[in-house]
Amino acid sequence: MASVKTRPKQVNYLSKNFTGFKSDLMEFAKTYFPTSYADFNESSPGMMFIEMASYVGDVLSFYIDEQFRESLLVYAEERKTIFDIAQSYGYKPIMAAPAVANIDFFQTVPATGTGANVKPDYRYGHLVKIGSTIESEEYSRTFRTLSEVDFKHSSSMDNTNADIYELDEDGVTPTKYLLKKSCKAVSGTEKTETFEFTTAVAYDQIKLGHGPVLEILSVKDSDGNDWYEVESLAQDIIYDDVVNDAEFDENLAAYNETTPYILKLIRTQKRYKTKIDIDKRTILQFGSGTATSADEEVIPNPTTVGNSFTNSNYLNNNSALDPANFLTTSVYGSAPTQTTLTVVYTIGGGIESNVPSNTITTKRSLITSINSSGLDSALVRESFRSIAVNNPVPATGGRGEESLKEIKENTRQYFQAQNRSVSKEDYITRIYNLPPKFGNIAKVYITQDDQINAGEGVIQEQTITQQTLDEFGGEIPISKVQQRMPNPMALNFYVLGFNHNKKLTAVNQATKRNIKTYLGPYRILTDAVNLKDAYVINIGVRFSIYVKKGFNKQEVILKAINNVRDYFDPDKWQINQPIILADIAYEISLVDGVNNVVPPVANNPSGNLVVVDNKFNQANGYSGNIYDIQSATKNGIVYPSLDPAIFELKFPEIDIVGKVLGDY
Amino acid sequence: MALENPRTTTVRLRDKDPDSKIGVVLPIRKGQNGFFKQSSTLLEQTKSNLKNLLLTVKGERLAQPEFGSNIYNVLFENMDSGFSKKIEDSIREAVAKWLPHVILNAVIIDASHNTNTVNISVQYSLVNDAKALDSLSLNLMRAGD
Repeated sequence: MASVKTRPKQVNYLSKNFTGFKSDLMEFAKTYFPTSYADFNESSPGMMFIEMASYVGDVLSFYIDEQFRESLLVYAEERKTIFDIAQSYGYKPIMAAPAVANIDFFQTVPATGTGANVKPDYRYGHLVKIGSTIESEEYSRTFRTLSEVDFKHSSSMDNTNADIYELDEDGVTPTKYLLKKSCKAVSGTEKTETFEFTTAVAYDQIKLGHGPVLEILSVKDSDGNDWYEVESLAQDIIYDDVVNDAEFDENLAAYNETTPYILKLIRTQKRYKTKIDIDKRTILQFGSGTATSADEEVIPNPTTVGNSFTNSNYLNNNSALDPANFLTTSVYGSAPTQTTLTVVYTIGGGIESNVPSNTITTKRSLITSINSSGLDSALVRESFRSIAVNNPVPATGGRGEESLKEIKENTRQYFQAQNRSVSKEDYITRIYNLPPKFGNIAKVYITQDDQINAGEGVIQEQTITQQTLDEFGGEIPISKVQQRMPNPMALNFYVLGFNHNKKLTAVNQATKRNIKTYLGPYRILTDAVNLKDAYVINIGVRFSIYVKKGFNKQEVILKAINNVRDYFDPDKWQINQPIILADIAYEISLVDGVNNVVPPVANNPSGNLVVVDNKFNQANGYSGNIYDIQSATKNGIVYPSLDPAIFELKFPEIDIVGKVLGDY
Repeated sequence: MALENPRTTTVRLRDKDPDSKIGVVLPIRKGQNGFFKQSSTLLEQTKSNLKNLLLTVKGERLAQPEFGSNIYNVLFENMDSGFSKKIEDSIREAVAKWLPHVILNAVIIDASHNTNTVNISVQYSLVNDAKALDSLSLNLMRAGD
């Protein structure tokens, strides 16, 4: 019997809504069931079934659309899905941001010395450690210090002001000084929770009892080991710091005044990552490893990496390597077992933590230290009691949770950044982000490295002789001439720091080492980084003005000098930034009473409106770098040297010379 | 014998074909061939459709808010002299819009104050066969169980 070949029924997959499904089902019935059903009037009971099926189709379509929409960050609307997607991209939604306050710390110390040499006895200066808590009693808000306050030390980045606090009976000789230092503090109430762990559970999670969490301060197990927060459990290297002393490195210890800590990278299996739940609470997730020793450094070999096939056929299968191999190691960190974890964290934040000025005045828990050997114990106690705090400006930055829209936008921005240094700006921002305790970086400038093409056949002589010219037949190809070639694999970082007087100076070796360590995890593998010192070209400025009638000439010239000083403020100046003479003249002309800025007569062959001179005498405290400013001045702009350099007005008191030629 | 091309067949021819079905009839119940009982003629099917139309309140039907009649809205108004007229108008308006192939020959409304009931009798025929008559009776209660 011949088989009957039936054509498959045609189904339209394009309909998505009630009307579309209804129309398709009607068409389907007309096409395939013409003798079974023919009444397509709305009033027909049979249409009720078609419409019910269309209804189901519409609902299913809605949920498919909904599911798809929720899988895309841009279109997602459900709070849970936005949280999940954001965190899968590595962005943690901010549930609350703490307020940040600038806190002035005060302390009295006795005077030491006699006669003209009376000065504060800094030996009585206490060290207030990071994490000390202070309070705004009026607003019931606690703040935690973010940096050390060391009254003993003073630098341009961390200045200690000393004022006379008390005089002796003669009313002349100081007996006590008031020291003042500043540091930043963040709001937040500290909480401590403990969690028991018995048998190891892979990827175990714990949920903190309070929220929103601002920061996890520490996680310690029963044995006193620290557990470290990482971006993802696969990250096994974290930053740690060591005190820069002779025990660590004799050579680097010479710079411990300005670089008190050395940054180092350590590998750890005791780590966790955090997730934010939609109820604003924080979840800590641990790894899967159970080994007691650090076994992350699994050397790839046929037993640790690969699949389990015993013959070579799998080579033809384009098989992926079995990632499960790694699950038996601690590459995702250890799972805590038979221990108790103590988690210390801060909660709070929000707009309420932005307390007004002069309200953070209560010391709550100061962690201090002092080397009291050889000191009067009564004075030590008195100096400790004298420590006081205040916030001269209101605390700012506190805010509530991010809106869903903000989370979406921030996630996209975070994902694009990739937490890697790729562009020049990425590197610059990253270096400026190095905490000051690892050394101060005032200026950074980045250029591509270059090198001389000293390949085969390239003429090595600096001067081309007639003989060489003849050898090439009178015309030398450019490829044979020694020239500088860009090296795409390396970057030159020109850096400068400030000394204790906030003058530009070369960065010490300890700080350079910290920069290299710090950049390591963010650096692209093929980017070699050369850290170099930028040149400092010290300058002086001369100008002449006419003053308007009726103005005090002395006052006007002082204001003009101040404007020039502000123009050359080292905080605003950058490496390789040219000096535009017209800008300086404009700044001078802004002073009330200045009628006209005219070119100085003396030593000004080009007749520039303002004259810039090179100051280089090392004996006078200048950098020693000689620079031909006259040749470097084109069309009223003083260009820096080809080698990255920065102009610095080192001693504004004597380096700015202004003259009033008269008034009219 | 099945028709060769049912999609283009006229109603008259389809009604004469005993194997050709029109639609599902009310009340919905099991048919002889195992599925729902179906009608074989347009007149027979129209009775179910008319019943379905008149007993559906406007706004009740999903995605067809205009489908139905106003009978139930009128039913609970005062039983004054214009009551029957309003119900008849509701029926005629609904039929004109949703069943244009139906000719309403007579609409008889019998409203009873005592029993709080309204009996509706509709006599109708089809546009394509005005001689084929049928009627539908609806017994509606204004209140009660």
